[in-house]
Amino acid sequence: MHMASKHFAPILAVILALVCSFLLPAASPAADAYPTQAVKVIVAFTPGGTTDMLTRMVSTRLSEKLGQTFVVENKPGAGGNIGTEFVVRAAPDGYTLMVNSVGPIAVNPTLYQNLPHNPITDLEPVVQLADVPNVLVVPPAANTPDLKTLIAKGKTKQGGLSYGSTGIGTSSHLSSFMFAQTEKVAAVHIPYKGADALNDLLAGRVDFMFATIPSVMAHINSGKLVPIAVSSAKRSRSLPNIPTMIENGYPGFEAGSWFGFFAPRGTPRSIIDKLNGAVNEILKDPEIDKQMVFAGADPVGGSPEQFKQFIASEHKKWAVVVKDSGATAK
Amino acid sequence: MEMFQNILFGFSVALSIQNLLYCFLGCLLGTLIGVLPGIGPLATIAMLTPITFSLPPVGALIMLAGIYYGAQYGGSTTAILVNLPGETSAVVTCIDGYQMARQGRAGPALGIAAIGSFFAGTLCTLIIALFGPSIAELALEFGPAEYFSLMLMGLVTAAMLAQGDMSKSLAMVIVGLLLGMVGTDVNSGWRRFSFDIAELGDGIGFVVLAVGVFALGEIVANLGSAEKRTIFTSKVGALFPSKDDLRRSSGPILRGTLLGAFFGVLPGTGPSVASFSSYMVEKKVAKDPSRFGHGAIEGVAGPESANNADAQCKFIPMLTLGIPASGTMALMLGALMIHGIAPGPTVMTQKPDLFWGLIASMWVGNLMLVLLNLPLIGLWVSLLKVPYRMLFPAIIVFSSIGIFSINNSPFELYLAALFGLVGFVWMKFGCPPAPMLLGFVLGPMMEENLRRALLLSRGDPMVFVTQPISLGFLIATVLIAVTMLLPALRKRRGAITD
Repeated sequence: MHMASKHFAPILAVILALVCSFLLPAASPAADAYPTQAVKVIVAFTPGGTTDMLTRMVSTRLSEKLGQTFVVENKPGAGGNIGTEFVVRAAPDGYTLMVNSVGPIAVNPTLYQNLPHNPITDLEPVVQLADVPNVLVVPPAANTPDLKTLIAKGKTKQGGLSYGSTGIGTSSHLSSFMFAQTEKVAAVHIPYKGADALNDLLAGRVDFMFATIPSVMAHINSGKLVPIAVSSAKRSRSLPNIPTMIENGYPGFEAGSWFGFFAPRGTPRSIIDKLNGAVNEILKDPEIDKQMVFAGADPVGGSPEQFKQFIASEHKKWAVVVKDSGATAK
Repeated sequence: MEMFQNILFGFSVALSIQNLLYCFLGCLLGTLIGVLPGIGPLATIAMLTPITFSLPPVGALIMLAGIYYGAQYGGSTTAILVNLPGETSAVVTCIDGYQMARQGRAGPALGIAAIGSFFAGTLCTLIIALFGPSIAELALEFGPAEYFSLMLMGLVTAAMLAQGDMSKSLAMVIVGLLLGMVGTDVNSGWRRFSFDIAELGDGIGFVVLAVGVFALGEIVANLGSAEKRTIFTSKVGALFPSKDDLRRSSGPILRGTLLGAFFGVLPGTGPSVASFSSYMVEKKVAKDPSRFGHGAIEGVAGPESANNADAQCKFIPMLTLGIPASGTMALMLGALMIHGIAPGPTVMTQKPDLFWGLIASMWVGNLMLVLLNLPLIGLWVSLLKVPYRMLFPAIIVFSSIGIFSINNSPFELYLAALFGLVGFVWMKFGCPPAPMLLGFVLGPMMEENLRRALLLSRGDPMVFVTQPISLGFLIATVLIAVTMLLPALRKRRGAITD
């Protein structure tokens, strides 16, 4: 086993470092000294998703800026609730943070019954990172290149339309539900696990889908999918020629994903301000800006208060939609 | 002719000093993480992705791809040596590879795994270069109905995995199907059989189950019997496959590669379906199927080639359709996107250096892997000389690190320990774990696709027979079932007339 352990040494070192950072008592949280040790950034989803990618992008910069390593740790499961619960219970010393998204923060409190925490009160918002709008796409062979034809098809097609989504209670599902409900179009929800929906969408088995812009950007460019409208308040920088749902006559139709930094409740204000300032500066970096646009994300930034207000309005909005849709997770 | 020029152009990209280095780095890292269970290409690539933002895109993708297929090479090593599947796809290799190791034939098993993987890698590089874009469209022909019928065929052939008592194997398939039910139902969002344990909300992890049942269960069994513990140290035979081994393996390697390439093109099939299929095919065509499960080299050669071919051909839907077949593929897709490259039908014309450079680098990487792995065989085999009382704690430690690293969840460690115990009990009752894992893999995919197909057809089951591809699989399923049942029926009729 000697030879083998030599190979594993670097991996082991990383793991030991992680374990140590977990066991060591946190230093007293003085803001000017902060951070004096490695900071854990929890992601409540698997590696490779949008949350994970944005977190790693920004964490690398935070490490450079604040002089301590920001270690990204994935704690996926139960729609992001496991990772969120972990951070809610973590010491509020600024050494356990998380990047979380619309799902666990604004949707899950209504979607899940018996959630053991309240993400609105148990977490301190630090700063909003980015908006990732959804885009309504249809396969070109369906011959429904705009909302009018799509709605008309929905009224005449036997059995109604089918729409794909990245799972029950996701912004992808609820956006389509909102659209179908507003237009009183019969539409059947076909839930997929994550990105699997793309295959059936490209092949024309489902009629439409609200998908995150990066997941379908390539297909829009090559003409394999037709973009109809984006679900953000303003047009997306990645698709400047595509109108918003609001422009199309759906007032208040704002249903995308967003991502932001959070800390456990009780984390000193001075630490939150320091992190907020650092992230705001990073978001202004043209290199980060470019990477985010390629990833289909629009950088946001702002103060913790602005983020807090935004979260409150999101929570209210999704509570209504989730209840209307009848979606629950037990 | 144009194809020839394209491939040459690809090699001119892949063979630059810089890209060779990225390729080597990726393959080396891939082999290392492949050896460890749990720590897989997904976590590694996620960690490295931010670093690649500052690299040239071609080099970055060559390195990430190297990690991905390198891990498939490494995954078989611990499967063969100590019954510990290093990657999901290596589970099938445990069945006969580990038995070979127990018979002192770890060297030939490791050797044939490397050779088979190299052959598969070479052929798949060619397949991607020659047919990549045209066969990519096949992926779109496969909808929920087609996937369901394909999986049904797989489940019926699962009886082929049986060793000894058929009823025990079938019971194990059902246990696997039941275990696969645990977790959140995709259609309703409700959790099933999770007993209010949040960690069970996403189901039981494949690695948790496989490592528990295979590696930990085996350790308990070994510790239970005194004489078996010395079996490794007594004989360490030849390091490389003999001429006879190579002759026996050539068919399985070729068939495994073709099967793997087929499954690779279909993004909706998981990582171990290709290797399971290859194993069942080899057992079916073998003159003496009873050797399987007792150290048949064909049972290593076929599945190992299949899983490497599958891993490599998964690049076809990713690069040409922009459809990621797995989390790892989604990650590479994301990495490309950050570089401003959108994979899809136009990638070949817009980014020829990336497309052809990557394909050529895959062949270079496969060559590196075989050169890297063949000399390592001696070292790995000598590992078996370590006394078992020192070896088994190390296996447990590395298994635990690997399992914990998947979701950073202590619960999954307890679960693996539980499955270790269960695996031991199954072993004592002579219940083979492989059919259980096949049921576990196929069950959730079958259910999901069945319900999705019925949702899309608004409840009309005729969709399975009106779709030609689906109908084809269903007919094949019936034929397979009949050919498997006929001998048994004939025997019974014979018994009656006697």
